[in-house]
Amino acid sequence: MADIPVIETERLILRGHTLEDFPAFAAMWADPEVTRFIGGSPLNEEDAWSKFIRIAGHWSLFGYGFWALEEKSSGRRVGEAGILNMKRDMLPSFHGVPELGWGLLPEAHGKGYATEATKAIIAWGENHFGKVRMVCIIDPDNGPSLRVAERCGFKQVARTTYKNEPTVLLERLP
Amino acid sequence: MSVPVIETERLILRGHTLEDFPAYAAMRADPVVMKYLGKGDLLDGEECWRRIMGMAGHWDLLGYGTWAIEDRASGVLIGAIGYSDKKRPPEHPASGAPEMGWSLAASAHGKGFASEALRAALAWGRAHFGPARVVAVISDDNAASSRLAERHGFRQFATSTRYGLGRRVFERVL
Repeated sequence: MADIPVIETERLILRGHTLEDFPAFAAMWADPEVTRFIGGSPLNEEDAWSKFIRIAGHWSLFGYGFWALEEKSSGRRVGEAGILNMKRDMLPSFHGVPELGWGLLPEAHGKGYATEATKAIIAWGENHFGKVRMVCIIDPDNGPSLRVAERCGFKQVARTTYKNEPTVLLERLP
Repeated sequence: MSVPVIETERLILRGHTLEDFPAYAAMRADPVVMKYLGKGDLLDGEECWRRIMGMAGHWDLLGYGTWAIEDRASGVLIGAIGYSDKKRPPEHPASGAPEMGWSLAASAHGKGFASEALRAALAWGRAHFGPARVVAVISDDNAASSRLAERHGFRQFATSTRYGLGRRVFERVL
């Protein structure tokens, strides 16, 4: 297993996923509120597992990836966030550019957790990659997530499509 | 984790790396290779990238998984074989036991490579899992693969259907 760094913020602990997280992970991705703006449809257990093992493999192949977000006050996993290299087939292409992403349980929305985690991840990324351009893609109807991105210093650079769905490409320059 | 390396007379079984991506994607885009796998659909590059990550993560999380098969003489990637937990639903006859799967590049068919790789993977499995039951799910019309399974001690015990396609479900004890 890749040695996944632990990051502590004011209210969250960012840590690697373990097998024990899978039930909570699968429940999160089976929730249509979560997938409404990410992927479009709820995942069954098999598809959630494919995603889960990919998260683990991403760390061992690239040395960076997605963290589980644990709420300090409750010890609960409330979501995930991190940096991806997904070779996405889309234009404009950003292969190899660190792509930020986040997803939270509906009950953890509206508390500033995504912004808190993403800011910490950007700081980690600037230490890991150096001062580089970072990107993210967000559903144009996902207002809260677009605001998270803006609070973290991302600016919209293109309206495009990914897997035939409209998406907004944002970038954050060093 | 570091994936165990197994050498046979003509093959090396080892973990997939990012360098395997072009050869892996070429195989997964070949209708001859994909005919009996999944829906028979060809996989695009992005999906292959995800699968390479998933295979790495499966080893990390569970300590067993799928090897890349390399032709020792040429150093070329010629296929994949191994054990996976696919989190099939409990009602599926193959659920609840490590599931073996294998596939070879079209150019490597008919040379006994699959048999050689399967023998080595079974020996590793016996050492790793002990005398455990393992399963394999093979397309109804994939006679070559069913014969291979039977020659290596698998016995059909059930059928299943997926994507409207019939499957034979095999088992054996390691």
